[in-house]
Amino acid sequence: MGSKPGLRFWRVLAVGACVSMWTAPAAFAHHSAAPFDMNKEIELKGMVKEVQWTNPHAWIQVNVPDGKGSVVEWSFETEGPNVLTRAGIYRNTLTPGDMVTVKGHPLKDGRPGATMITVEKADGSVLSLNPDLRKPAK
Amino acid sequence: MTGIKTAVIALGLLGLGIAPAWAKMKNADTVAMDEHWDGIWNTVGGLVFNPKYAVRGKIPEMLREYPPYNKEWEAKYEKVIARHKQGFGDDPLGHCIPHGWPRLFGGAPGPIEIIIKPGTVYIIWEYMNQIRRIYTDGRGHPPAEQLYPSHFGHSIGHWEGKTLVVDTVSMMGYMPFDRTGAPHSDQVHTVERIHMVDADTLENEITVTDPVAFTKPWVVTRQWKRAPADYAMQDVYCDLQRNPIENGQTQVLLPGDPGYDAATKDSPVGKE
Repeated sequence: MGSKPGLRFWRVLAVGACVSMWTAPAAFAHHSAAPFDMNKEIELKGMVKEVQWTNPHAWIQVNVPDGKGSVVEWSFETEGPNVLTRAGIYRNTLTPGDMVTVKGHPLKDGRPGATMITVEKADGSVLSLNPDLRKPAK
Repeated sequence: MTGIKTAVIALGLLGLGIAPAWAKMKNADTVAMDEHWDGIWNTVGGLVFNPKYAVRGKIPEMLREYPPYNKEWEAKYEKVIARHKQGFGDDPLGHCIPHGWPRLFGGAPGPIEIIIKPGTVYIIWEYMNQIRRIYTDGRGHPPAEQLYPSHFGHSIGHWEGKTLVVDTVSMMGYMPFDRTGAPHSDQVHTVERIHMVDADTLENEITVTDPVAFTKPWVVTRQWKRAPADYAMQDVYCDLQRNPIENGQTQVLLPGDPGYDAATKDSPVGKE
C-alpha cells in the first residue's frame, strides 16, 4: 500500500532500540500496535501540515525535509480527541505552519508514519500523552 | 377520572403487589443513590482483562492472561499469542464494532458513567456510547428460546446488602476477553459483585464461567475511581479510521493510499 519514499534521512536520526517501555504512550486503545516498531524511536523536525482531529484516532501530518531538497509528508498517529483533551492537547494546540520536533515509534515497513510519543513546539512546550514527558513553554 | 378514583385504583394496585417502579427503588437501588454511584468513573488498570497481568507501557497484545482454559482452548489462545508475536494484529475491535460484554470489563479508553434508575442500573462507556442495562426490578432472564448471542447479552441484578450482584448471559463468542486475544465461547456467563470500597472507589469482582472453554470459574477484580466533579463524557466513535484490517493485519493508511481521502474527510459523507 503506497510507495516507499526511499528515505534514509530519518534513519540517521533514529535513536534505535533504546526506548524504555515506560515511555510508550497509552496509544492503540482501538487497534493493534502491530504495524509499528515499538522498540525503535525516531525524531523528526518539520512543519505541521494538518491536524486530523478524528475518531477513533487523531493524526498529525508533518512535512519533513528529506535533506535532499524535497519534503516528505509524515503521519503521526495518536489517541482520539477524548484522551488528547484530557492530556491538555486541544484541537488548535497545533496549527498548520507550526515548526515541531516529533518523536515516535516508526512503522515497521519503513513508510513515513509513526505513532506519536512527544511533540515539541517552537516555544519549548512538549505535548505528550505521558504526563512524565510533558513540559510547559519556556 | 376523579382524583379519588385514581387514588383508590393506585392503592388497589399496591395491595395486589403491583408496585410502581419508585416503590421498588425504596428497597434496593437507594443503596447506590446513597453511596453516589451515579456519576463518572475512570477505569483502573490497562486494557488487559485481569489488571494483575497488565504492565505499564507494555502493549497488551504482547502480554498474556491466565484464564482456566481446558487443553483445547489453551491451544487456541497460544495460537493467537504466537500470531501476535509474528506481528499480526487482527483484534475484532479494529472493525469498529462494540467491545460488548465481557470485553468492556477488560477496559476501553475513557471513563464510564453510571445512572441509577428505579429498576435499572445503566452503565455507559464513553467509547462509542456503549450501554449496559442491568435490570434490578426482579425479572429473570428471558426463556432460552428467546435468547440469542448479542454484544452485551442480558443482565439482571439484585442487591445483597450494599453489593449489586449482576448476572449476564447470552453474549457473542467471537470477541476475545481483551487485547491479548484471550478467547471465550458464546456460552460465557458472568456474575459480578459490585460494591464501594471507599467513597471514591468502586470495585467489581467478576466470576466468569465458560463450560466450553474453562475447567473452573475465573475470578478477577477491577476498580473504578471517581472522576473529578467537572469531568465530562466526550464523543468517541469509530467513524474516520486510517487503520482498516486487511488480510488479518492492521493497516496504516498514508497520504496517497487508496481509502486515505475517505478516512480523513471532516465527516464520513464528505468534506464540509
